[in-house]
Amino acid sequence: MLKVCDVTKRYGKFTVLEHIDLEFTTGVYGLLAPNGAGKTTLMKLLTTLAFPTEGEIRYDGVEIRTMNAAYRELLGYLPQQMGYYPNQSPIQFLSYLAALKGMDRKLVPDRVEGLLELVGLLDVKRKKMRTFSGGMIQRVGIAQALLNDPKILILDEPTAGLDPSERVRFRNIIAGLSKDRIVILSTHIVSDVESVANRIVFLKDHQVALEAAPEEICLTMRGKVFEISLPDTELPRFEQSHRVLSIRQEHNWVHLRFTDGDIPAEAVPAEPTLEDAFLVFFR
Amino acid sequence: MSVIYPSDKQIQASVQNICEKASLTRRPNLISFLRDMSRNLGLRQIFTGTWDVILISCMLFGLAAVIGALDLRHSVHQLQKASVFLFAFSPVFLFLLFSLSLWKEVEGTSYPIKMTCLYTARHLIAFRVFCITCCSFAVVGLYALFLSAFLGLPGLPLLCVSLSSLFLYSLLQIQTVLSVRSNLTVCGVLAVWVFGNCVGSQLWPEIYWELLQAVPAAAWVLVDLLLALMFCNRYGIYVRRVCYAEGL
Repeated sequence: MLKVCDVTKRYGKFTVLEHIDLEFTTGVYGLLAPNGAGKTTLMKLLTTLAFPTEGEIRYDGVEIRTMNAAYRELLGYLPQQMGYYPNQSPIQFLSYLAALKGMDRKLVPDRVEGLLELVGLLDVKRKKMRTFSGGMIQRVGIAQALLNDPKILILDEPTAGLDPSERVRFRNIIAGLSKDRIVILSTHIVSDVESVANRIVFLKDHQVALEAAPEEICLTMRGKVFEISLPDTELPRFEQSHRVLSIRQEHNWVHLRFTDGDIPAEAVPAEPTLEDAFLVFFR
Repeated sequence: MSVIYPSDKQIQASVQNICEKASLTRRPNLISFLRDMSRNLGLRQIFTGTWDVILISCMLFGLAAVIGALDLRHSVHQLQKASVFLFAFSPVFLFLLFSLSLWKEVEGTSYPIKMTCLYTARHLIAFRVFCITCCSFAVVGLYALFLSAFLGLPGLPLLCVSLSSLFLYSLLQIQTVLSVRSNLTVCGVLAVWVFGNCVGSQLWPEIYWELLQAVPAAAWVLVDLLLALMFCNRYGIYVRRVCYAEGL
């Protein structure tokens, strides 16, 4: 179990995270917050790239700073910006990182091939990465995070640059991996975590605002989200009195999802989604 | 919320438990750690992405070496100046390589990934310094012998002085890079050594000369041998101490 105990992180006088208390057991955790809320800093603390100003982070009761290399051996990390050597092929790059991760040399070729197949890059395994698209680089990043079969997998904005089919493939990989490990996924794209996360953590104003299962979060919104179709000329007036969650234009009509305000007779209740909760929470 | 701190014994037991659960390789001693590290990394991996840095360091060091030799040619107290110069100058190549290498690593986008691997960017740099120090013995040694032949000075004292300086600096460098957490502090400590010596030897050459002369040539040889032994042993101890938590 990974436990964040009363952690505060300050850079000079600026407080990035304040009194964070979290517990991670096996499963997928989605860390949802708008930009600048401290997601990446929390990720850095969990990966020992930075250390708390106050409080501590423990893995199975041991402070991770004390565990040092033993903790890093348990860790797989995909940073927000994946760094790579453009002149290397995915095989070379992954073999290099496998060496840095202290993997047995004999096991590396099979492991690298397997991971490249998993992320769908087997066909281009010998091509230089300078020719790769952003999505392909991201897939190499996902593969490197899985190299050492980590017990703690930390992914910072993992689906950035992936196309819809790659996103689905990625979600399936994550779902498969979460059986016996901690997966922490930081994102501001709600659909990335909605279907795979066992728990969702909302960060707001540098603190943990909410930690619950996605269904529990959606339940809190039940009966509060409605749909309505209006002529598009009425939209500005409607927006003034209601909190509009989404708008879909169709000819001269708009189809709206909304919450708050007076409920018009034509409005019908809608099944709330995590995105609705996110929008309401962070508005 | 109050944080309860575990005892050292509890930490050791828990780390042992974690390693067993996660099927981590438990390296019982220093030799096996170094063997695994060199087996896993290999020279090619250690120097990945640093050939440009090595080339720049070589060029700057070569230029300074030529200027130093030409300057010494016209000086009055050649042995004094050459000894002081070599003491200050020998670690310059290591410093150049280290600072450029560290700067490139930290600025590189793969730095966060490398810092979360078993062998972090810091270990890579320390290992590079170790390998380059071994090469520097030959380069600096040859340069000292070249200076002695070029200026017609006794070779052994110059060789001993330059190698001693190199050993000491290399130990300091490996020690700081592995044990000091802030990159800025590491660079500061090493820059103070190099620039302090370079400036000091220019401003107060007599003091440096007296210090160097206070140690007879035989003692320098002994110091070199001892430092060589210590270097080989201590390096591993530093790496191990920093890499592995207590109980591993």
